[in-house]
Amino acid sequence: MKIYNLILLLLVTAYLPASHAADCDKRTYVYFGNGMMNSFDERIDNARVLQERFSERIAGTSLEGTITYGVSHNESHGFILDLMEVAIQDALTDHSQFWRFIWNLESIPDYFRFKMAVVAAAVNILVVYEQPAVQEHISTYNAMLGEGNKVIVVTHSQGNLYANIAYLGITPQYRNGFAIVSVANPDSYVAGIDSYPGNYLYTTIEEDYVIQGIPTALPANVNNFYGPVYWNDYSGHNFIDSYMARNYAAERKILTDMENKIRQMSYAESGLSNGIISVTLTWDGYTDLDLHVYEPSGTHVYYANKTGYSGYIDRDDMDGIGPEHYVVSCDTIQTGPYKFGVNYYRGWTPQNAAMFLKAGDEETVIRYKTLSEAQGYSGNTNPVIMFELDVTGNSTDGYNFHVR
Amino acid sequence: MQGSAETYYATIEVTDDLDGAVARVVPELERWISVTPSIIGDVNKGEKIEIAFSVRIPPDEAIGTYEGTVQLKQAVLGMPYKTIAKPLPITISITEYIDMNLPPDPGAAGEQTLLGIDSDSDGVRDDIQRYIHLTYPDDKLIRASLREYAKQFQILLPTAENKEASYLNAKKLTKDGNCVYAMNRAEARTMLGELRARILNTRERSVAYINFGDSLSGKTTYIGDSSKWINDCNFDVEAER
Repeated sequence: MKIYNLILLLLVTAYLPASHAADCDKRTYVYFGNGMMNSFDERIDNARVLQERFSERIAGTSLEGTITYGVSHNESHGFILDLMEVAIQDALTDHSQFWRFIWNLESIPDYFRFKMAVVAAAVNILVVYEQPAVQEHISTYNAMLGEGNKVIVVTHSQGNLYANIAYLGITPQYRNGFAIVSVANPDSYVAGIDSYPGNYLYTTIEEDYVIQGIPTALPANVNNFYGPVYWNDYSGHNFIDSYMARNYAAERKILTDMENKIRQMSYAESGLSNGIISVTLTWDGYTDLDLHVYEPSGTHVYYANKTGYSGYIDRDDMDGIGPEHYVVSCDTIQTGPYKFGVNYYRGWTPQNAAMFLKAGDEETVIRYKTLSEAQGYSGNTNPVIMFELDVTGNSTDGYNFHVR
Repeated sequence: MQGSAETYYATIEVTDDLDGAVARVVPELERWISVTPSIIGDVNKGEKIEIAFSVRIPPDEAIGTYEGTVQLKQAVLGMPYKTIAKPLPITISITEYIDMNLPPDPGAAGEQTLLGIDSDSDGVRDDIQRYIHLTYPDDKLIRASLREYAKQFQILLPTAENKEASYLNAKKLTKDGNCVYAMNRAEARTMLGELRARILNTRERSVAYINFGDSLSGKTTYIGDSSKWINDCNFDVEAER
């Protein structure tokens, strides 16, 4: 699996919000994985609806309060733009109306519905396969799973293609904690540890005009509205208006699939600890890269001094591809500045390092850096800093995380 | 006037017995005028019928004068409608909404650049500021939350191709949207969609927004606990109540 060379400038300052209660418990992360015709805000709205409906479903059960909701963002590959250009050329004079169609604020005309189906049919696994985004998703999922969390990706439309490929990159011993709940799947399968023909966990409604036009797609398995067309969503493809239409069969199936999966999945036994702050370092060759941390107390935590005042290194990898892992527990967190760096200790070729930072239970950031040559011992005193993190707040009101 | 809503009443005295009478607004005016009752039914000679004309002008409606009629028709099963009285001529003159607290409508000039015109430098495009004010005249909290959301677009559109900036802006925009949801959970999706549709009213703005979404590819963002979305409001909620 490739690690792509994404060298990101580290000069931009990022403000991470307060964590809620200092929660070091293992969690289930539910990500909405969008299709290519989902704009940014639509992805967020879809995740909001998932939270609303699933929270209602699990209220009063052991799952209540254990779920964190987010979005795994996939790109449009130019398909929204194509759809817009075609619509404007063909009939529309108004860009606002295009967006009203996309967001189902206005009923779409036949030609628009047809174009949506054509666009969807043009996207296949080959379009997605070489996307750096897939590798980023894999890194995120592995890092979350490695700390003993569960991950569910609720995938809609072409988001299924991304998730199916991402599954191939999930570390094998973590796969019991990862699942795809597939919605409007244009692909011919659903990846998963217990997923096989006849047992795929997916929901495609018979009224979905967009998926109907894709010959390789799994067949529709829910008759949601008992008619060929659902007039509140003429495409039959909208996640909220068609698939999550309240109290219809598709919504019930999706929520049931989510709950069943979460209850069936198991937490990974990776040996890595879960904490309020954690950093995971991986790289792409069989060389030796080392994680270095400077804590607010000034303590330098690394392979030769694995325990600091705030946290500790619970995995030091000397000859593999990582991970190296540092964690701060809720009980030992100190406020103040942290620095997280990497030293290319031993090796012969340039290495691509990926560092994943999790702060609180709702912020995850990955950065990449290409390291040209090994620095040996001398690099121990001068590691390449990839994140600086300021922590403020307290255990009662929660902590604020400010990443530079 | 843009953004206005008024109801007018007319009384019709019937001079002959009528079966199946209906009132219809001509297509040129029906987007602004609705008639109640639209189905009058059977009426005897000498009866008086009171008809209400509800006129609702959207805040971003084009300024101008529009003419048409309201017609009283007879509906007979299997036959086309038959006009049974002299049509009532109606002229609608849409004028600009003028409020000392609002900037003037920038019109087409406001569509020439990515960021449009923000003459009062409040961080919101003038046309969007007017839209929010005129669409939700009676709800200060909704107006405040939508203004914050709209402000974020002025920041994210120019940096849409910068991945790091887009990531930060995405998190802020999510919080601004959460705040709107906290104000009105049931209507937030529609309110935000309608607002965005107006913000993205040119090709340049639409392309920038698409690029913004693509810049997030590979990233994960979080929506927070919905019970705490009110804390995402970037203004003093209590002061606005």
